[in-house]
Amino acid sequence: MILVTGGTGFVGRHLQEELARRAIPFAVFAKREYDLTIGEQADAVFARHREADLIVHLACYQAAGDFPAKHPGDQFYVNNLIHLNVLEAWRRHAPHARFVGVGSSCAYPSDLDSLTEDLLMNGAIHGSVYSYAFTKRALCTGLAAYNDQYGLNGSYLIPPTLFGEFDDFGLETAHVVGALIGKFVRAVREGLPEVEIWGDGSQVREFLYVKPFVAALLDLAPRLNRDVLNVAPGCGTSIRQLATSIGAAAGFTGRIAYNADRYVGVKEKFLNTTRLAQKYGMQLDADVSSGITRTVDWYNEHYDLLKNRRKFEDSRHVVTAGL
Amino acid sequence: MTGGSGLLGHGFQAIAAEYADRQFVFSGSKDCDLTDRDRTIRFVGEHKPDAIVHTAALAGGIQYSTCHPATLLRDNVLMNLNIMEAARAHGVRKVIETLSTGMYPPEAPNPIREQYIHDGPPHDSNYSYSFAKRLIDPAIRAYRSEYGLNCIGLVSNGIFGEHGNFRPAESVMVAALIRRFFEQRDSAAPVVIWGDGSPLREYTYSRDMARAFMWCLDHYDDAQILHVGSTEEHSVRDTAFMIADAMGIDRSRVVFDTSKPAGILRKATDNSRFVSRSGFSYTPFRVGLERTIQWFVENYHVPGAVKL
Repeated sequence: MILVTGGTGFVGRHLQEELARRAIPFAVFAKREYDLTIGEQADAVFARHREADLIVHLACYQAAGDFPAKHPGDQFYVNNLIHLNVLEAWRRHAPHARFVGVGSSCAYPSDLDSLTEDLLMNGAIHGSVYSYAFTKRALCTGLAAYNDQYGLNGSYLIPPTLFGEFDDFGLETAHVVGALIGKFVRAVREGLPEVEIWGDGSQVREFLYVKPFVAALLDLAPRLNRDVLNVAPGCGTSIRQLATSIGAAAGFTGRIAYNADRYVGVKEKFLNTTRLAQKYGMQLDADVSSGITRTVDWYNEHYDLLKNRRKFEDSRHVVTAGL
Repeated sequence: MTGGSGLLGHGFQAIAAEYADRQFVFSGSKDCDLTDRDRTIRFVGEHKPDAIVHTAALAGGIQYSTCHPATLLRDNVLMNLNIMEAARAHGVRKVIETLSTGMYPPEAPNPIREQYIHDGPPHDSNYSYSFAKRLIDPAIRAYRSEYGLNCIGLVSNGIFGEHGNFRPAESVMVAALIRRFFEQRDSAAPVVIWGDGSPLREYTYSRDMARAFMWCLDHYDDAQILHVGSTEEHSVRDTAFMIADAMGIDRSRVVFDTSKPAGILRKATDNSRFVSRSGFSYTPFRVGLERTIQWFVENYHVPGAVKL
C-alpha cells in the first residue's frame, strides 16, 4: 500500500491515475482532512495508514510567477512545517516503509550549469525562489538525518519543471509551461493577434511531462536506497521552441512578441542524468510535444472552468493559534 | 532572552547591570518548550517583549551529533521558526537569531566571511545542526520581506567564560583544557595534548559576545548575517601554556603527542563588517581566560555549580 501526501495536487492526481492503472492500492487525503502543518494531524494520517510500505511525499505549498516574491515568509514557514511533520510521522508510525520525497531543481546553486546531485549544497540559491528552494534543501537534509538516526530508507528525487493536465494555468502563479498554455489558448479563443513572451526566447530550460515522471517514480521506488537522484531527460528546450510548440498545439496563427527587456534568469539550466542512466539504467524522453498537445487539449476542454481560477486566494495558509 | 541559562545567557546576566534602562527576562528550557508552536506564541504573548534575543539551541558534541542528526535538525528548525512566528504574531520590534561559525563549509577560505554560508555542504560530523543554522539566513530574508519583521542573524564563534560547559564530549577546546589541567594540577604526570599544538583558534569571552549582541540589538538592522566574535587567535600550544601559568603548573609538564591528529590548522573568521560599524573592542583573551579559570577553580567543588 502506498501513502501519498499531496495526492490531490497536480503531480498527485497523475500519480493516482498511474497507481490505479497498475492496480496498486494507495491512500490519498486532502488538506481539509489532514493538515500536514499540524503535527498531530500528520501523525493521525500516518498512524491510520501505518501498513503502508511506501510513502510518496509530494505535499508542498508552492506556486510560481510572482507568488514566491510576495509570500516568502509564508512559504518558508509552511513548507518547513510540512516536511518536518511528515518526516517525524513517518519515523513514528511507518518506519518500515520506504520514503520517496520529491524535490525541485530550483534548490540547486544558481551559478551551476550542470546540476549534479553531489553539488546540491555547493552554492547559494537564486534570489527569486530562495525561500521555497531552501525548504527543499531542508527536506533533502531531513531525509539524510532520518536515515542516519533511525536507520530508515528515504530517498529524494529531483525532477525538472513538470507540466501536464491539472497544472496551474494562472498567469500570476503558473510555471512557464502552464502560463504559456494559458496565454496561447486564451489568445486563440479571444482572437488576439499577439502573445507576448518575456525574454528573447533563447534561454534553455528543462521540461518533463508529468506522466512519464510519475511512472519513473514508481519504477524507481523499490530500487532506491537512501539516494538523491535527478529524474529528468537531461537536456533542455528553448523557450522559443516551447512557445512554438504550444502555439501550434493551440492553433495560434498570430505573432509571438519576445520582450527582451524582461529579465528571465540564466541562459541555460538542466539536470545531469549520469546517475539515473548509470545506476538505474533509465533514460527519459526529451520530446515535450506530445505532452504539450495533450495538456493544451485538456486545458481547452476545461477552459470555462479554469480560466478564472486563482491559486491560493487566501494568502496566509496557516492560522496562527494561541492569540 | 531564550537560552538564558546557557553560557551566552550567563554572559548577558553578567552585563545586564550595564544596561540600567533595560529590563531583561531570561528564559530557559523549563520555562517554555520552544519546539511547540502554540506554547511559544503564548509564552511570547505573556511577556510582550520589545525584543527577543534567541540563543536557545539543541547542541551536542561529536558523539551526540553523529547519533542524533534528525533530532538536531527538527528541534533547532522548529525553535528558530517558532520564535520568528511568535515575534511576527505579537509585533515584536526586534529579533536576534544566533548562528555559529561551525555551519560553514569545511573548505571555506580563511578568514571566513559571512557570504560563504551556502558555498558547500557543512561538515559531515554535524551536518544537520549546521543546516538548521544555515536555514536562519533565508528565514530572516523571508520574514523581513513578507512581514517587515526586524530580524537579524548574528554569528558567534567559540564562546568561553564563567558558567561554561566543561563536559568532555560537549565542551569547546579551551574549557576542556581548563578542566584537564585543573584535575591534573596536583599530580606530577605529564598533561598530554594531541598534535603538535600548532593549530590556531579564536574564542570569544561570553561577556564580550553579550555586549556585541547588545550593540547589534540597538544598531544593526540589515538582512545580512554578521560575525560578532573576537578574531584574536592563539595556537593550542600558547593556550595550554596560558592555562598552565594561571594554575601554577610548570610548562615542562605539558607534552604534545605528535602521533595524534591535531585537527584543522586554522579556523579564522572575519569580523570587519561588525567592528568597522561598532568600533567594538574585546577583552584580551588572556584576561577572559584568567577570569574563567578563577571562577572554575572557586566553583569546582561546589555541588551543581559547574557543568562537569
